[in-house]
Order: sequence, then C-alpha cells, then structure tokens
Amino acid sequence: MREHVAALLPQGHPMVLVDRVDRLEPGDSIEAIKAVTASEPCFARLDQGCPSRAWAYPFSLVIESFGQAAALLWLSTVDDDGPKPDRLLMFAAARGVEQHAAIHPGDVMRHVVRLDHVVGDNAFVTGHTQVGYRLVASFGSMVAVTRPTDILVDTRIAAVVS
Amino acid sequence: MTTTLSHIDELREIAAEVLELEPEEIDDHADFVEEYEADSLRAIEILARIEKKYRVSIPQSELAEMRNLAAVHAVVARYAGWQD
Repeated sequence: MREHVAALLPQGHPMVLVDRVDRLEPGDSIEAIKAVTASEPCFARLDQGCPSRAWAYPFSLVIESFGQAAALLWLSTVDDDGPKPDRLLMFAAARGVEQHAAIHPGDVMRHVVRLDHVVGDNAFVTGHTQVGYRLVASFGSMVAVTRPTDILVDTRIAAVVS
Repeated sequence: MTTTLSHIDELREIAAEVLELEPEEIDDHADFVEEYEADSLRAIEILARIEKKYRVSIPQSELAEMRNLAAVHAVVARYAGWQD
C-alpha cells in the first residue's frame, strides 16, 4: 500500500500528508500513519532560536492529514457506497473536532478513521488521531464529498473571463 | 400522540445539532434555508443522521421536500413506516 498512497490521493507534494496505511478494511475503517519532521514546509521559516511552542505542527494540517486518511478509506470502497470516478473529491465539513495535545517534530500520528455513513456523493467519517497511546485529536464527524469536475472547471473559467 | 411528539422532537434535536441551534429555536414550519440559513450540505447532514438513527434509506430526491421540520417528519414517517 505504501507506494500507492501518493498515487491514490489527488494532492501532490508537499501536500500528501499520509505516509503509510497500516490497516484497511474497505468500506469500514482505516489506520494511517503520518510522521511529522522538522523539515516539513510549515517549519521552513522558523528562526533557529524559536521557542519550542513554535514547533507545534499546525492543527489545520492534522485535520488535512486525517482527511486524507478518510479519503483513502472512501476511495477503497468499491461498492455503491464508494465515490464515483471522474469526480473531484473534496473535504466539505467537520463537526465536533477537538485537539487534545500539541504535535511536534518526531511525533508519529496514527489516524484511526471509520466510515460512518454514505449518502449519495457524501461520505461521513468519524475517528481520532493518536501519537503512541496518547489521544491528540478527536473527530466527531467529518464530511467528504465528490462533485462533478466540469462544474468546477466552468466556474474557474468564468472567473477568469469575468 | 406521544409517539408523534417523541419522533418530531428527536428530529428537532438532530436538526438543531446540525444547524447549531437549540432545539426549542426550531419551529415545526419554519423554512430551514430561509429561517436558519441552512445550505445543501447541512440538509444532507440532517438526512444522513436520520438514516443512521432510524436505519432507513431515504432517496436524496426527497431533500427538496424536506424544507422544514414538519415536512422532514412526514418524509421520514413514510420511509420508516411510522404511523404518527
């Protein structure tokens, strides 16, 4: 699975925020790993003398990383509940998201994601992120959607034209 | 009558949670979009929670009709076989 992670996700470098999939039950659940290092682009502009709190990994990226694990889970779902091909996969909403502890370089995040429910082009997932045995984030409900790419392309062209 | 109250109040709680309101703020006949600024994604979230809670499958085509709490109750009752 390792070599397929980047290929499966629509994001390119440096926004691929899942390193490895440890466990996958298509249509049900996934456990995915992301190791945070000091060489992440988000730390690029930090001065050397920065206090340690400046090295906290941005929580927005924790959410994105969890969302990518959720995307891998949904993409692996091949029955009627799976996303339709040729559509753009997007993170749409999150509810009940809590950060319980800061994450720093050297931490290895494990996202545990469960596919809760699918309604048409919308998938609802739930889960948590841990570093070792420590809970660092919990996700009450997160919504991923697929939408037709042509609508989005048309919007972009319209924006350029106007 | 008790069943009706309990079902519609359960639905009110689901809608309130998604719309980030208190249950008592949601009137049976107030339009979700016009009164509570709901968008299509919120509507789908409400539908998803209902499907999961009551283990029913409701086609997305019914969303257009589910514009207020009373209408949601009517649609869910039809698919869940509620007699209230």
